[in-house]
Amino acid sequence: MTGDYVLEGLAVPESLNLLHDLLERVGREQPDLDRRDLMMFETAVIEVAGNVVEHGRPPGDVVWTFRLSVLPDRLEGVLSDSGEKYPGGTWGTAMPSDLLQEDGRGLALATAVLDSLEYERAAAANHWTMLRRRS
Amino acid sequence: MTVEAQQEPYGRHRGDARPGLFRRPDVLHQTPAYVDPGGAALMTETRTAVLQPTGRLNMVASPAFKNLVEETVASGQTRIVVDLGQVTFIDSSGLGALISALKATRQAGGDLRIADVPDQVMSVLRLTNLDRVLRVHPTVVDASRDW
Repeated sequence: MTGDYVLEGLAVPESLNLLHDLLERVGREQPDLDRRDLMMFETAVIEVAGNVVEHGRPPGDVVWTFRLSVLPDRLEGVLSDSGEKYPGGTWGTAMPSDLLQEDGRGLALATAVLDSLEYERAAAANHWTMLRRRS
Repeated sequence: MTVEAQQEPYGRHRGDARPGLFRRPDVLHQTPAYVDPGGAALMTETRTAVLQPTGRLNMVASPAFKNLVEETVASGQTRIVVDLGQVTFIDSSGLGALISALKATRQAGGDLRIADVPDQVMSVLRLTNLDRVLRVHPTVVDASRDW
């Protein structure tokens, strides 16, 4: 079973719960989608979206659109936001060396649960493309 | 008509003011009473609190959780068990809140343990290596013993 989903909104913390709600709906409507695939994909989406909420400029004025495609072989999500160009550098799966550090894990965690995470600046927007192959 | 005494259910910090976040009064752990070596005073050690966040421990809920931990530690309960059995999802800000809580309890001479950890939380703990610093216990009862 496949399907496409779209959610638009303001990039503020409360909007994260709308993304959660959307992914819960996907779980209900896609009963053959492996629970763990969806759970890990949701983890990535929330981390990437949280990163936009935290770093998006100007704060509180950034709007985003999330598009999700449930395809036979993969889950593909694109989070596009109207904020200024993402100022961060590259990222990987490396976690903070200090285990007691309270932040700095978001994109590393997203990368760890995805097959690919790509960033692109185009048409005055940031685009985060998340892909996870289905089990 | 009888009127039952109203019990303050969550100690000093009532959880009902904070949806999705409360202390569990039923499992508040108390070590046995002991006699003060000085003689007269019978004291009860109540340093342990069980906190039970529910739902999504994400960027929205984490600040309230951190506040509750700070208030709990400030009230003298420096051994905290976090019952994660009702948490459906955690993100990196929720993890940060747990790390913050761990540090707050240790700085006050106590410690923090987590119990009844759901699949998504356990996966995230492993992926971030935080299972090395956050001690996972199968149940709240297990976590409440032998500090």
